[in-house]
Amino acid sequence: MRRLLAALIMMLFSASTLAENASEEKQASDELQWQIMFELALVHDPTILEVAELDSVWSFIGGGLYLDLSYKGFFIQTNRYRANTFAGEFGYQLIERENWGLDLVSKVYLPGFDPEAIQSYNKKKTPDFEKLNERNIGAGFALRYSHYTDKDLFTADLATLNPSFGNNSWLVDLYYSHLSIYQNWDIYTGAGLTYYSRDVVNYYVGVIPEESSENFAVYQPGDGFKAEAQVFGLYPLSKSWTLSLGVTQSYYSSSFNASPVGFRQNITQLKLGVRYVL
Amino acid sequence: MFCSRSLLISIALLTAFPGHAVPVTDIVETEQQVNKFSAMPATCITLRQGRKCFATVTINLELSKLGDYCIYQQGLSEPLRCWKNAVPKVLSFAFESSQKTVYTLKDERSQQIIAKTSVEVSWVHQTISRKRRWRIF
Repeated sequence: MRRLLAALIMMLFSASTLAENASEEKQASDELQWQIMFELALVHDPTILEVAELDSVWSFIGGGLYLDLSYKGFFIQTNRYRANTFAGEFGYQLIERENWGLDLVSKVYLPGFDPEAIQSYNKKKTPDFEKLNERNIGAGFALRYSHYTDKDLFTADLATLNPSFGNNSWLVDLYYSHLSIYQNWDIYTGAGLTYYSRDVVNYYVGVIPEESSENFAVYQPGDGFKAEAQVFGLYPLSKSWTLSLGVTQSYYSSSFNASPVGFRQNITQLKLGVRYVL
Repeated sequence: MFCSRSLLISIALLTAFPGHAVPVTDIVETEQQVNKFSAMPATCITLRQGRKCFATVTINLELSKLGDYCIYQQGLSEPLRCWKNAVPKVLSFAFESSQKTVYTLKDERSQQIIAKTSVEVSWVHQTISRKRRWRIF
């Protein structure tokens, strides 16, 4: 972990120096730029936990407030998960060039869960589930490299989840998205690959001796990954409204799926909604 | 959570989709009686400023007498369609433009433009220079 932090700090200093040296090329805008969207959508958004059921009408209604804001290099932006309002991203732009950039980003990479709360909502009770400890959200800091053209975006995050998960918790998150324009439609196709370090997976899906029981054997699987594919479409309905629809298919490695806690290996998220753009 | 959803629904209802703008007909005063010459939709909406907008546009006409008429699109020398000794009522065509486009109705016998209408192009998101930050998806 120390080595990872040291590497991040080194990269940060290098990036800052690079940015200063090339300040004349930096295209950062100091002016305030913002965009706000409200969305109301029908969603199919199962959680990663098999035991958490989608058992009410509200489980299928999604949307929320999407905020994109930028000022003096700082930014808040919506993330790439279109099927839910998982979280936004807060960051600082270290370098911005014509086709690439380097940012320092803070975001949530994995949702947390509270076994006790899940049990209280579920009709079907799982014995000993309440013995599991609460899992913190996987929030962390990342150094993000982005490469972009008018129709393509590639990002690579090297992130530490140390504040949330502790120990040697880090991940590498790669994502590529391509924009295709068909008449008035914008169609985004994306693919992502996330590698989780051993301590991330052990903390999140593992079972430590203190949590173990007849139903939950001790489980410490080591590292893992997630692959995902995404298609998302937008269509203008009026000057302020757009139609949004999309599907995201995620696949988790067997280190997640083999956990006795019960994690889904394949997750399909669907969305059909309307957005109001301010 | 329920509050935020209710708020969203309220916002959605309060700002229900506006209809297409009312078509504008500019009828030139001549002895020809043009009661109606309008294009629908009057506004074509694209996602981003500067993009081409696509729509099937219908021009509705109400003329009071037989004649030789042609409909022209601004910037094109060839007419979209002509009628001989007829009272045209409707013309549908594929619209594709990134800017406001004017259509004119011409009396081919007198060579006079007797009516005008247009299709505006509007957009949801303005084009901004910082392309990577402003993802609209």
